[in-house]
Amino acid sequence: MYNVEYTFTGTDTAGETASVTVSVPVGEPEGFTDGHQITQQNVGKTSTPRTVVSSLNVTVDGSVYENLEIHGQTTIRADCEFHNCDFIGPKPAMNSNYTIRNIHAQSAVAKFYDCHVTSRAGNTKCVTGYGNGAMEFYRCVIRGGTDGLFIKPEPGFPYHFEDCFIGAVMRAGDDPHADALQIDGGTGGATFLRCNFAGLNYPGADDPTMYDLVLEGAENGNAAVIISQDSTNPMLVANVSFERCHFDGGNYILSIDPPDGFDPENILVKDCTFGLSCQYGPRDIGPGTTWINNTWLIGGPTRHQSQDIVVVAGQQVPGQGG
Amino acid sequence: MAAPVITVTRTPEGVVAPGTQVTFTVTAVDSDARSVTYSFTGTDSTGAAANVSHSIVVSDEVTIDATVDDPNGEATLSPDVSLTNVWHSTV
Repeated sequence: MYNVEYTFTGTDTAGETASVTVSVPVGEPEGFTDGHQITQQNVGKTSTPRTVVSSLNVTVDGSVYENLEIHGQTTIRADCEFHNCDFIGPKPAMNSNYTIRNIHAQSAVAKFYDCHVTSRAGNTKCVTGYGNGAMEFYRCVIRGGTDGLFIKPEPGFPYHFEDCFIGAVMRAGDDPHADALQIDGGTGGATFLRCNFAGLNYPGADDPTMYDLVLEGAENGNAAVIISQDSTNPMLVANVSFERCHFDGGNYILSIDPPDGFDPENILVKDCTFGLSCQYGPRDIGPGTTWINNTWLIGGPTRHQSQDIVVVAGQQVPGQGG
Repeated sequence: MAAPVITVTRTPEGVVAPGTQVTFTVTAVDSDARSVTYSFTGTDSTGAAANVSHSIVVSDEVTIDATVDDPNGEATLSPDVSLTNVWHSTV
């Protein structure tokens, strides 16, 4: 806990002045303690009305955008903040049309607060970030096609996600490859605190902006979280942490031991929970992963089609070799 | 000749999470009907400057013939100027 002091001073034309100082206590958010508490309804855009605008290309440091409904692609090239914005990606489109694109942003830092980010094209990514620019998301909903979130930040430009819902959106006819989060080779640092990853295949309406996705009855996507490598150009993934997060859906829900290239290093999964929806099991992790106190959120039979298992809520999810 | 009277309210109230946008509504009343200019500073507990992300004026309202109470009963000041501004800051 710390305080921020703001002093407001008014001066009239005769030079008479008066001041008032307001103290604002700043502390950890109340309410959320674990990622499973994060839903598409309790984070994201607020009730404040938004103004519709077209695609953005952010090039001026210090830019602040508030209360906007942005249709099209947003490209990040400078330090900026977004508050209560609804990003709706272009449709239809392939990989050239991400909803938010933060690629080689030349040391820029983009911060997002209370935002919704949705891809309208099933075969593309929603938020894509790689290279030398950092991003931070707080209380946001990110729903993508191929990947909700695709990241490859260079070392020194870490990404941070806090109290966010990150999901894959799958619709009829979409590419079956869908991850809530894909971490690609070359990633040098990312932290996830109290996030909910849903690697689930949501059938439903053609336009994901027109309905709120539901978990019940959904089929699996590829993974809630996957670390992948380009087999022709493998690069190390290192320094990624997940704390108090929730994961569900996928072949492996947490698939972070890629068959190609380097073993990821310094990966932390701590105090996280898992759902029951998985094809092969809850996790596929390598020797570079530290696995601490990760449990099943609820009990019952898993959707574990190759070898069904029954788990108990609160029971430890075994780590490597378990 | 009197100094303007400054009042400040903020939303949200209470403890706020890091990164929260706080809205300050600042009202100045100058009984001498002079224009009032504002300044704004912010520092955290370490003395570092607070992250003032945005500031806008949403309204400048001039109120004439405002009524106030004084110890001797109701008095009328005419004119009385009231200006309202809103600041946004990210803590």
